[in-house]
Amino acid sequence: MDFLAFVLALGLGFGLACLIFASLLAKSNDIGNSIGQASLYSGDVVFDRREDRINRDAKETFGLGYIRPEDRKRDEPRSDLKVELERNNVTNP
Amino acid sequence: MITQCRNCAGQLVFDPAKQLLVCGHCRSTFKPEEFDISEKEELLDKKAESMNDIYGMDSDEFMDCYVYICSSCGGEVMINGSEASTRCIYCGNSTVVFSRIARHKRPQAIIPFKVTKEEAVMIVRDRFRKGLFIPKEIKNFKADSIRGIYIPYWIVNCDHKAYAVIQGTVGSGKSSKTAYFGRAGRMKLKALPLDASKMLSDESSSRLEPFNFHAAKEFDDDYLLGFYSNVSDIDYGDLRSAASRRASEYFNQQALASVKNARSKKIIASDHLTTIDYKEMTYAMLPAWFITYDYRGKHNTIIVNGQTGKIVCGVPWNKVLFYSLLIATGIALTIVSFIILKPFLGAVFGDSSHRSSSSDGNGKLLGLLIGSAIAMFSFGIAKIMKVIKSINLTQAGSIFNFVKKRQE
Repeated sequence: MDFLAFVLALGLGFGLACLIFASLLAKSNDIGNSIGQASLYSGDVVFDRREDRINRDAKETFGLGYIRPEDRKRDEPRSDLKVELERNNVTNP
Repeated sequence: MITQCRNCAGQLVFDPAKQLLVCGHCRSTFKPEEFDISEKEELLDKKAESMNDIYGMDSDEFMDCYVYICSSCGGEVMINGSEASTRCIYCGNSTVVFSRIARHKRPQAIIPFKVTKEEAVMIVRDRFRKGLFIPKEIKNFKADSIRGIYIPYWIVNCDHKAYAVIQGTVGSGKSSKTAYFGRAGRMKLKALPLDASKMLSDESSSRLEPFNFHAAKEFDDDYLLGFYSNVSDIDYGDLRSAASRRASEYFNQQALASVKNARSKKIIASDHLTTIDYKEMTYAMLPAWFITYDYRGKHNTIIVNGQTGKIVCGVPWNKVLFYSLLIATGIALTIVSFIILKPFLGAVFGDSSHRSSSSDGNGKLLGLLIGSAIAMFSFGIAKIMKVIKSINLTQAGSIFNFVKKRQE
């Protein structure tokens, strides 16, 4: 029983210490670890389909048909996005 | 080329403290908007030529190097990759390379520097002083270089459509089970800033946010005077990938939050489509200070948002102090836990001959305690690994490379 208590105490004690010190290390040395919040750029998601407790079979087919192949085709790249670097034509001296 | 002082033809640089162009000779000040394009007309024809073309070198080393003739001293200014403004190494003249920001490819907006170089360093030093695990040598760091760089960004509006299947655990104890939840929806993102430089990682540049776009001005080359800058070198596919990543992150956060009364939630299947409104994109230059220093032979870079002063960096940590404090605290907490658990376990489990009727319950309690101890330890280790990974990410060599290949 003593051994069991010791093993459990070791796990809990060092686990808690790791959690505490990970937070301290992040606060001390990982500076600026946050990106722009979603609310700055977007409103709430409008859910078109919302199902809770779906069964195993339904989870495989849940998203089928939601994003149609023709939707993807509309997203055509704009070929001249890249800011091309201009080069002078070399003239002979 | 440079915009010259109207009074003495001296070199002008943009002063973030005054938000004006200041002459280095007579200290006259001007608003950037005062100089229109006609005053720079004669210099528009000055363009960069490639090293290969000039020197006839057929070398990969110079593939991405261009030569620009300084309009002040005639010296050759080397410009790399996608640089748009730099300094002449001979006379220190600020050079804005017009050809790289030709009229039809000019940025539409710019947020001028508001934080001066000295303020940026002071902000960093103040912050470092508070870091428990920041080594003393870094708290008193000596900067190798401090460069103000305008980073190119595309500010985009996009529509995001996605679905996600979420797995979670519902119920508790004996009745807990795995459940599945489906979410499909749409969201619109407006004015999402995406960095347009391949060399600077999206993870680092996104941490510089937020920028206050209300302070953005119509682009004028004169704001670049005294600073470095790059042009956009990404293509549409890169932009869409970056927009997709950000939009997916926001969608997933909201999808997970919408699932109530479940724990240990994670997304197990998903798909998405992000459509950028490319008629409404804005090409902008956003300011950042890049401060580099050496620590134990390794280059480290600190980025400071040139508008808000937000610092982004992963600082090397004092491992000896960290691990010794961790172990000491671990031992102390273990002793406390043992003092609490020993009598508790003795009281609950006690002598087995008198406890046979509740052996099922005791077994479950023991299982719960063992599970908790393992889970606590695993989470603790995982969290430390996550923090170390995040620190290393912003120490990445790619950030230093974004800064180093520029003239002093």
